[in-house]
Amino acid sequence: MKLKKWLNDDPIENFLKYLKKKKQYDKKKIEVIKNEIAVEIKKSFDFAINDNFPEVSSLQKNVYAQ
Amino acid sequence: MIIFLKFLHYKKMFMLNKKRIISASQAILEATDQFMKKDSNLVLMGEGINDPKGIFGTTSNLSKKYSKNRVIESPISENGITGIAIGLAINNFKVLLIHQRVEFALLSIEQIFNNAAKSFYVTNGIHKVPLVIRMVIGRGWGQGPAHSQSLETVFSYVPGLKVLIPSSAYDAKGMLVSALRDPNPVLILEHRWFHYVTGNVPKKIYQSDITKPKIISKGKDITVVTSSYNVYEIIFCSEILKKFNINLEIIDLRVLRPLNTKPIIQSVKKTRKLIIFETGNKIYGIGAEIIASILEKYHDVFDFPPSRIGLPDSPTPSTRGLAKVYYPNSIDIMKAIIKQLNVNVEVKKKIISLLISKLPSHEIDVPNPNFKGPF
Repeated sequence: MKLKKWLNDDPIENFLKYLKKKKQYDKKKIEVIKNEIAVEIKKSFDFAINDNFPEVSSLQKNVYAQ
Repeated sequence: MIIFLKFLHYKKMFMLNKKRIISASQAILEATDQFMKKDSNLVLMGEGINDPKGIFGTTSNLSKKYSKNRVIESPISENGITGIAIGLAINNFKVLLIHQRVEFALLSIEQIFNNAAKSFYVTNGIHKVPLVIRMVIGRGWGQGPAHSQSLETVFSYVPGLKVLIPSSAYDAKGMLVSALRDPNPVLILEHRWFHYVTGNVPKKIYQSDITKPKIISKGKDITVVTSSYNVYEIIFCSEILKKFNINLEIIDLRVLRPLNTKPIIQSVKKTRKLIIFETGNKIYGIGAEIIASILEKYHDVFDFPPSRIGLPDSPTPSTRGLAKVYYPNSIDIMKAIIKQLNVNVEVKKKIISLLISKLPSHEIDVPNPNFKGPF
């Protein structure tokens, strides 16, 4: 019940509804964007899972420029 | 008749001794609810107070009990809402403002430092500002450099503010009630994981002392000053050291401003050794202030140079790989304690191995399952 309420408040879904209402909804374009997002998320997950943890020395890296 | 009276007597004794164990977050919710019921001038404000998680459960369902005028889900405009809160407080309301992360309060520093803290002073005591700001500090999985800082000393720098840092469920409720009864601004810093700690919390509304630290364990060998969730790390070390006849005097700091060092000085005069374990950065931390305050008056009170344990001098990392070296762990803490004690190498080894054997295997950056209490 609570989940349904919050899903209804999802700003992305609501924006899609708004586009439909304004007759600006382009199904193909939306599909392309959704696929791009899915690919980017998967790529990021794969990178995070497969990458090694950083060296301890990197804790102090980039704290100061000089 | 006599049997019946005896029954009543034992029932009463049982009820008096019966402990009521709840979590710190439940204790905060209860204090807020009881105070709102009692004082119709109390207004609750904050970002996310009405969301399903209700700031770690501390504001859950309050919007259903009280009107929208009293439970205000505020916009993302921290400086603005703090200004409104101060205005309300000056005009006979009490305000409880909540920041789910201490970093959100940084956007309202000007209002807090220049208006909340100084109104009473600059109006010669005419404008009181009964405002309480709760802020969440500390580590948590994935919170990273901008959402997990322990900035309590930043706020402790400013005269006119009272700064509290509770560690127990009992103080979670009692200190909040004391803060709400205070006529001027009080900030409460709550460690994220402290919300899950449980303890005995009376149902009735009560106040905790907000003027001084508390000795939570008496000992003769070394004074350890700490606060918030770190108290439980020290209790854990203390229990192990007791098996080697080493007794820590543990002081829960509780109140960062005004800082009352008397109980610490009394303890140090007895143990002649001091370690401060703080939640925030070691550099410019509360430990530096405490040690300086002691040495200004008692330059020869220590048998061993006092030491501080705190966060290293870099932003908080997000990755677990670095989080495990960034935060001091139980072994680091234990090593710092025994460094000051006259303990031979073999005993040191035994202490560390016993400690390691007691460490739970849990994911890094989640609360220690042994630190839930009841305490």
